[in-house]
Amino acid sequence: MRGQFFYPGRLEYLANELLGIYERKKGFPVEPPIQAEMVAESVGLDMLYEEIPQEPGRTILAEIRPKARLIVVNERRLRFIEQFPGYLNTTVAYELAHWWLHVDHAALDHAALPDFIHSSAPIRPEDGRDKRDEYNADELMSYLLMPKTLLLQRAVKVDLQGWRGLYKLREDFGVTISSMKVRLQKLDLTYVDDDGHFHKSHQEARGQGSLF
Amino acid sequence: MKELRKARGVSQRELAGRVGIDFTYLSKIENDRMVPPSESTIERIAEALDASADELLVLADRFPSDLADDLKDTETIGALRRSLAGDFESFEDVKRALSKRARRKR
Repeated sequence: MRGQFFYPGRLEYLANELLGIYERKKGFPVEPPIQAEMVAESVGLDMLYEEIPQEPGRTILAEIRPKARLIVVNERRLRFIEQFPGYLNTTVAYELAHWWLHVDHAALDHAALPDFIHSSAPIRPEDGRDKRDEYNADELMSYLLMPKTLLLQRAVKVDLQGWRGLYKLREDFGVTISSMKVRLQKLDLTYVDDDGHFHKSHQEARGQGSLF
Repeated sequence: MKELRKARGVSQRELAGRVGIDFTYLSKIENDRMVPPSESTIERIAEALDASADELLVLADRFPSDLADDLKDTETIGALRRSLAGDFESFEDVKRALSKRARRKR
């Protein structure tokens, strides 16, 4: 539900649950790159690319239409999205994360009784009254497209102390370079400081904070 | 078509690439935002999905062009009507029978 707090472990569990459903439908183990649209379809969502009416001061890349069970990518912004490798995949995964975390699936199937109000309003990332929702969706996207075990298997084969290694992993996993950097940093496998210098960990970059 | 594609484990992008159409266009067809594509596109989609072109054409409310030619021939129609008399409950059944007949002719 919206506004709910999820522990990182819970988000990882929910991402793995999604991958499990996809894997069972597919019939063999998932391998990177994980295509978010295929995972979305495995849980009953459809993909549509069409123009989303522009609202003043807002940039809408994509949205979820819960009642129609649709992930809609804004065709007007598609050229922009496709400029950045992996951006379309992470955008779709982000919408899927909203569907998995913030849509009351049972209510969607609820009979249209007089005292029951169906919400058919689309969910757009910018709608987040609570920034926590956006953070949670972003985290789940990260766990979904870059599962820890699969990432570790490949991370040991590249040099994580330079961009070349990160770009190789980005390509393997079909995500944006910023998503890959953040994921690797959260796993404490590398750290890139504000000046673009690589460190083995965040702690190494900051130095010893205290003696005790 | 959407169900066929999903059953084959093919993404919209992959199918669109195989058929030579834009994936955004395919998404619109699948979600009834556009009228079904041309007969030749439907045939290419069927081939890419290893499905029956006639079946997809019927689902798209299109008649195979060779069948349409046959239907201009009054003798064929007469024979068809006689052979179909009483055997079908709906127009959909007739269309299916016509498609089967066209396949046999090929």
